[in-house]
Amino acid sequence: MIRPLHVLLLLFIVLLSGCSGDNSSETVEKTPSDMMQTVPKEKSYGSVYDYFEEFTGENLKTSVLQIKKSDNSVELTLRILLSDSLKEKMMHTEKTIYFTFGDLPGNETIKNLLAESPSLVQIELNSKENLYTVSQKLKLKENLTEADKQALLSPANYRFQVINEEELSVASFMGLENSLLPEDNQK
Amino acid sequence: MNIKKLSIATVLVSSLVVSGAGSAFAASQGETIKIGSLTIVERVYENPVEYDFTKALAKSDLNKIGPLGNDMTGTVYEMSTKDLYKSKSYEAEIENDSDENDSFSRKVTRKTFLTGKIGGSGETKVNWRIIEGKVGIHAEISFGKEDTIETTHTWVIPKRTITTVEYGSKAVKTTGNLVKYFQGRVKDSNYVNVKYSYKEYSSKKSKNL
Repeated sequence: MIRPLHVLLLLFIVLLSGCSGDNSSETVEKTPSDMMQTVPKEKSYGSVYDYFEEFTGENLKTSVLQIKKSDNSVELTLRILLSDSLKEKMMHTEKTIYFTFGDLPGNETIKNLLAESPSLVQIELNSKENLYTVSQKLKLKENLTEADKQALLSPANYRFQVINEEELSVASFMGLENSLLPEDNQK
Repeated sequence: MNIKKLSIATVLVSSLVVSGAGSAFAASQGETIKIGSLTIVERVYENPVEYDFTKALAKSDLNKIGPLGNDMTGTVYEMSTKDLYKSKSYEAEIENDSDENDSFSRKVTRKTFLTGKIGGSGETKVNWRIIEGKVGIHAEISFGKEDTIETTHTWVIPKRTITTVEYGSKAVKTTGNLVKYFQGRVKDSNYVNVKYSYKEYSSKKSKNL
């Protein structure tokens, strides 16, 4: 015979499980750490080489290369405009991305005028900015001729390189004597 | 919007070029591609065009000095000719008839070549080093960093210009003899006729429309 007590107990248990079900849908005050866990994990890349094909003129627009010469050095400055998609990838790349300037492929024009190889450059990306400035200082040999100085001051002699963690160039941008920035191409 | 057109232009050209230049058996093309504000004619040279020859043999190179050392035994490369030249494998003629600068992007694969006769078989690697040592030209890493095996190159194409972008290799052609000495006497001599590339190069020339 089913005792009323058993029924009561069963009902009680059912009610309790019902309650615990309700608990999961109750509003629980979320702490900041809980909030972060609910944000979906962004796709991340190991190396900038994973998406090297995306370093095209559409996604990275270069300004005219600014070249300032001091006594024994030259300061190169380039403004670059990153597309949202490329910037996102760069911000979610594990291994370091470097930048540098270099001779045009196969040339040694600038190399022959330098006292030493320059250090690679890094830039700090943020979600708000798309326009960044990359600067690099080159140390010059002594006793350069006028022709040497002219070569140094000519943006057409340089390329801008995106460098991976192995210090190899995954993308080059050339023709730095003309600007691709929209602001410089207004009629 | 112009920007959208540009984006399609760059992506399409890159992939088109890859399918052409990436294949070892790609035939020379020459078709016109019109994308956005750019009109592009590409040529891929299956047999690279060799040009710009310069004789580079120094007087000192002609000295026939046997191997140094107490026993005067070893192999030397006695060089007769040394010519530097360029080997063009790809060019693109890009017309930008708009009032805005545009860009042309291309996936580039590093290619170096070595052809020719190096002398007795079974010793190719050692012979090669001897020849390269005598010729004195080695692949170098210049200012800037060496490209990865596959890399992307982007060229700014100025407004209202026809711009020619060229890719190829700087190369050396050398002839001579690999001579084996034993105690100062010639033991063996093999004719050498070798071409090798030592550096990739590319260049751009723009002409106003």
